[in-house]
Amino acid sequence: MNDFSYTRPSHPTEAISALLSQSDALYLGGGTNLIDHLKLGVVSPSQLVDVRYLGLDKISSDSRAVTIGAGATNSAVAYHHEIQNHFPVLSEAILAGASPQLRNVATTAGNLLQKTRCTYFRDIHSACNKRVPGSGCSAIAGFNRSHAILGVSSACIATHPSDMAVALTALGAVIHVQDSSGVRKIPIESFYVPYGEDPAKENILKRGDLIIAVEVPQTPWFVHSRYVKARDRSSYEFALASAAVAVDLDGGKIRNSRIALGGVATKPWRAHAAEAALVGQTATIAAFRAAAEAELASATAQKDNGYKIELSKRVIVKALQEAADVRGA
Amino acid sequence: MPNQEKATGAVGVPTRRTDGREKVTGAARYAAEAPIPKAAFGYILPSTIAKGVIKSIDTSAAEKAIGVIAILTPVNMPKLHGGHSGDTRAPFSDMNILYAGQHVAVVVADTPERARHASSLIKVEYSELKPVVDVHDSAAALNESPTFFGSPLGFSKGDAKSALSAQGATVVKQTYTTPIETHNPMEMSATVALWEGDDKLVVWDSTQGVSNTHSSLAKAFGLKPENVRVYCPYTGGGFGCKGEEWPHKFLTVAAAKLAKRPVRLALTRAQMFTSSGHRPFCEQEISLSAGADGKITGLRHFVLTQVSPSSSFIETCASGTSRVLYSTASIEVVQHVKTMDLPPGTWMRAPGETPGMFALESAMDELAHELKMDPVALRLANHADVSPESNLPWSSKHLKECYARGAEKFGWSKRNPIPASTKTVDGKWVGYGMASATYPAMIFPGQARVRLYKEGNGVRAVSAAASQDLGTGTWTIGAQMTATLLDLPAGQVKFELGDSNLPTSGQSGGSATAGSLALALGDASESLKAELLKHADGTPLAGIDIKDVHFQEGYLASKSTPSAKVTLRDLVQKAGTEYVEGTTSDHHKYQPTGEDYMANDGKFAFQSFGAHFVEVQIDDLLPMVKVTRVVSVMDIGRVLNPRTARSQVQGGVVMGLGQALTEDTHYDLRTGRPINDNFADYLAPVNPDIHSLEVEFIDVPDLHFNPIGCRGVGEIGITGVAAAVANAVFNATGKRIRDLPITPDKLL
Ligand SMILES: Cc1cc2nc3c(=O)[nH]c(=O)nc-3n(C[C@H](O)[C@H](O)[C@H](O)COP(=O)(O)OP(=O)(O)OC[C@H]3O[C@@H](n4cnc5c(N)ncnc54)[C@H](O)[C@@H]3O)c2cc1C
Repeated sequence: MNDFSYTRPSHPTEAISALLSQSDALYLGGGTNLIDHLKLGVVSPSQLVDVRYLGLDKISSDSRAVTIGAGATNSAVAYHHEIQNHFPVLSEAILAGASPQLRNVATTAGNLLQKTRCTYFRDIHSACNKRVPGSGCSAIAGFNRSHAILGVSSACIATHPSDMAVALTALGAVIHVQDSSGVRKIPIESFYVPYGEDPAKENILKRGDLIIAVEVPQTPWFVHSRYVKARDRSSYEFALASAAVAVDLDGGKIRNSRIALGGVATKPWRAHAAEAALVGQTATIAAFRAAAEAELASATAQKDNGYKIELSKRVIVKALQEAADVRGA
Repeated sequence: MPNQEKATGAVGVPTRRTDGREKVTGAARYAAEAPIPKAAFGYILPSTIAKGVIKSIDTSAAEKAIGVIAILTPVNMPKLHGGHSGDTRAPFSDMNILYAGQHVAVVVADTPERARHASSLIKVEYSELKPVVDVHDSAAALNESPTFFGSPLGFSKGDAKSALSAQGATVVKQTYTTPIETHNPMEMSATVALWEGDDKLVVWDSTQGVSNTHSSLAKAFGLKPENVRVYCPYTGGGFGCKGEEWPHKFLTVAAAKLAKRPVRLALTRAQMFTSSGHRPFCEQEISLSAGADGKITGLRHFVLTQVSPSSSFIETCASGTSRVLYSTASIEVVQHVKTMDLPPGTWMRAPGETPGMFALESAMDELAHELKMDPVALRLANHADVSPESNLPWSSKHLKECYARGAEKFGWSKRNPIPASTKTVDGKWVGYGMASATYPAMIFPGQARVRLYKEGNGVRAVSAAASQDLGTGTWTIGAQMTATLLDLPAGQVKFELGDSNLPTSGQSGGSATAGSLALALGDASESLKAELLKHADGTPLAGIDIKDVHFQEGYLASKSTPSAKVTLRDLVQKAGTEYVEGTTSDHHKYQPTGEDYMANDGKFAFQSFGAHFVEVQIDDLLPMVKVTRVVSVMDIGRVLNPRTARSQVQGGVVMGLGQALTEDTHYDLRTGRPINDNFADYLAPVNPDIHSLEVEFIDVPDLHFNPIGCRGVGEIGITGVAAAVANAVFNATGKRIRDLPITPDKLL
């Protein structure tokens, strides 16, 4: 690990100028992801700008939206009453991830920006286009049981690891980003960018951009939302496949729905095809399954992760069943 | 009063661990925390390639880094005189790279961070060769008749071939695979070395064998044994990975010499995957034939496993399983090994038995299913009344009671034998499965001493052996056994261990610690009796035959004339010395030479047995296996301490659940590097994975084995667990998983 300096600004504008003052400075949230990468040599910044003392840890709400400060801890968000009541999927998704100790320090912005768990990304002796653009991808011909089947490119098949971001994608959250000229609001779906040639570019942020808040629009039917996560052990483990869903039911018919997938895509994956397939359908397992099939039609499997196609369909069905309260056979 | 006190500490009483308080308060000092002032910190630089040659090592930048004191490499490493094990090649003795993670340099600096940073500045140039790490790679060298400790691994009895092809027999023939598993105790291996002058060495080491580490270091560095002292008061788990004399110990000692300063070195979690062994990959084909009555006529067990270029360790899957478990007319065991460019494998909790029992007990379940027979009934039909391997009678065997008690406690009679036929109200498949457990009873020769001091109006006993406590309770049972042997209240007894200056002990492996200590302490208390009798002149015991004397509540007393007795205090007083001491008469007495109590005494076969009963629930949509209940009943001879014994079995079961459901070390087939060498990617069970675990013991003393009647309990708990889970998964879903771990993708 290289020597680095550490600053602890108390205002967002100070943080932004501190970051811009060094070409390789990085913001530090809870550090649960970044510090790992420092130790592994994945990044070697010369300066860390701690963004936990900017007064950005509040969670507020009005009739229009709940606004989560970028520094609010994952635990604070998960156990916030209004979030638990209005957006159960968000609370469930957070609590399905990491461990209590990690959630107590991990921040909202840090969670959105956490890096992939692809082992080749974390191993500096392996080729990785995300870590060193142009060096190649070790995962495509390597061990790729945990890798993505959606949104992949020939340069990268790494999954986005966050559970929280999947729920926020289903809920249509808006990310508030500040730079030296002001604040802009970006819908989460355009915040993450698809991998093209350069998988190191994961989102629209440019140097110095500071996430200050995440806004979740109040939508009455989001109370019917669930998060379902399939994984190799019951806790403290990333998703093999997960689904965040919300359904708007009109009697037995689906008026509207939101579906997002985790653990299977290169970014938190909004399942538009599945949503479209459900509009106007009667809420049945068959309809859920058909919607899942529609979404996964575009999936690409690697050597070890073909099972994720079926597993993704099943997490969609399961989550819809639970959100719409449709019993199995 | 004395009786009540005794009840808190004697053998058989559920006694709390004497070291529990230190551990939970953090007062216990593990090796890495040795109270050695001014120790510098060592950090190991591991090889990034798996096969090749080091062309050059450039340490110039690292030497200039802040805080660096010394850098040890194969270039300036002193020649060792043996002593190393685990990795059969002497550490830093040549420039060849035989596996990824092999140690290449040790940086010594004033802080651990600076040592680690400086290691990243070392430039190593390799000429790299393509490693062979896939067992099915045709480039892997095959050995079709390997030996282990000088013995061939093949075995045959009767004509298995004919039995397996006989007309009308029901035959099961299947292949089972288990991946490389890595021990991962909580405490990473650590060594702290302090040279006192040129020829005296003090070492704190996290080890499973204080005496072994002591003699190995003395040998390696050409030191007089009395000039080497090894301490290990606590070991934070071992499971086998601290049972060999691995390279880092010698490197730390050599680095301390080079740095002219004590050195503290701990392996990192990632280094634990490549520096202290793993359980090798195994592919096993089991063939079983049986008649309609379920009697097995033929059993063939074929094992293919991997060895490493610098290791002689072989996972012997059939030795402790197919050769000892069932009474079958014919048995054939064949083992092959392939050499692969992987780090050395080693003993891992029930080495051989753990993968072996997964295969054999899965196959037994498949046979029961084919025969439409209850799995317990099939096992009873093939119960081995004498050892199938040696035809010797068992010293003590209560396996039938284990099946019966386990089945009863679990509710086995409610099992629906038709797979995929039982569901919970919320739509989860329910399955019941069972398997036997077994592990041999072993002895490692060792010594002990027992000293009696006057104290207040009575006496105080202090017994000791070099030994070690892996977190299993050796501290506690050592005191309990002494209290029982001397018939003293626990409050008057202390037991000491973890110091090579104490009487030599065998290592804690092979579940041998308790039984070996029982022998050594038993012998030392006999010797104490003789020593005390030397001072019996003028007492009612004068001239008495020692065979007629026993310890009794603070007295030495005649068995035949109970009124003839003298207090221990009076005898110590008469001796006129600070204490009276009993010691093991002859270290070699405990070598397997045909004496009574020996693990292979020619009269008995010594083996522990047990049974696991498992319930699983599996969601039909998202098939993540949840093990909702485990009932384990074990016959381990006399139970020294129900609390610590239960913990050992529960720990074994949890580790077995890890083997069954999650554990799998992945080596990248191109680079030979483990790619999940951390706790986020190498999945051991977490709390929510573990539900009800019930443990019971038969608790019948095995007095042929030692005077206390205890056999070991450290390993048997893991054996059979994975098979019981896989069998329950089959009962729940109709899917037979023969490749561990049973992850959700395999059940889709
Ligand atoms: C063992 C383990 C298991 C885990 N399991 C899961 C899991 O199952 N599911 C899951 O979703 N997650 C899991 N996590 C990941 C965890 O959720 C993340 O580590 C955490 O959310 C990151 O938050 P942080 O505040 O610590 O981020 P940091 O590590 O501090 O930062 C992460 C990134 O965000 C940037 N950053 C931080 N704040 C800002 C800001 N305000 N503006 C711009 N950039 C910023 C940093 O520069 C850095 O690049 C696990 C982590 C570990 C270590």
